[in-house]
Amino acid sequence: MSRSPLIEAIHEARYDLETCAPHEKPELRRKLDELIAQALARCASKPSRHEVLNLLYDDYKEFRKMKKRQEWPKL
Amino acid sequence: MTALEAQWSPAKHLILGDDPQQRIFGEVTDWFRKVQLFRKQEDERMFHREPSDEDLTIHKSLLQRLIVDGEHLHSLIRQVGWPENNEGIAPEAVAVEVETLRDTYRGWHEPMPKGEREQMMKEIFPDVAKPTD
Repeated sequence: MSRSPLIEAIHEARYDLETCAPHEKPELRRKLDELIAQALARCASKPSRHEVLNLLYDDYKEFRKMKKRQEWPKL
Repeated sequence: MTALEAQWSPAKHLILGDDPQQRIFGEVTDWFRKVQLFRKQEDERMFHREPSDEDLTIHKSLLQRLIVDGEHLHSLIRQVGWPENNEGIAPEAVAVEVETLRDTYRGWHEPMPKGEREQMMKEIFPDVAKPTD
């Protein structure tokens, strides 16, 4: 799992966007884009948003597994 | 209705329906339900166990279909417009969902090559970058 608060925030925002109701999609997409823009602000080259999301996808898979494990005690 | 409109009426009714915007709205809400079911099964089959080759094949084809359908619906919205609705769904939501599905497609089926990933990780997240397997 990532050790960066910003990466964690991007994963959370991505998860929220994927699982939210349709009427919430545009707002949550803006939130995700803002976090990606924060990450890119300190980067000399400017990759696209989808490159950043692709870059983090393997880590996101781990985040999703962890998310599920956190849900188990609630069952 | 003019005489000309009357002549077009059967085809227009068949193709667009009585209320084209409401028809598109119904199709969009059905599509969102499909995406929701897809996400639920993706969660079970792809994230919480190691997906098999067959899982990956099915996941890929379902994603491709959802993306194509979403693009089609988005183009229809541009053509006929979008109705006010009690659910508060904006037409932009369709484009957002299509892009989100594309991001998922790239993540699973077009992963970034290792060398490129390491280089980009160093650039964007230098504090956490480390060589990957």
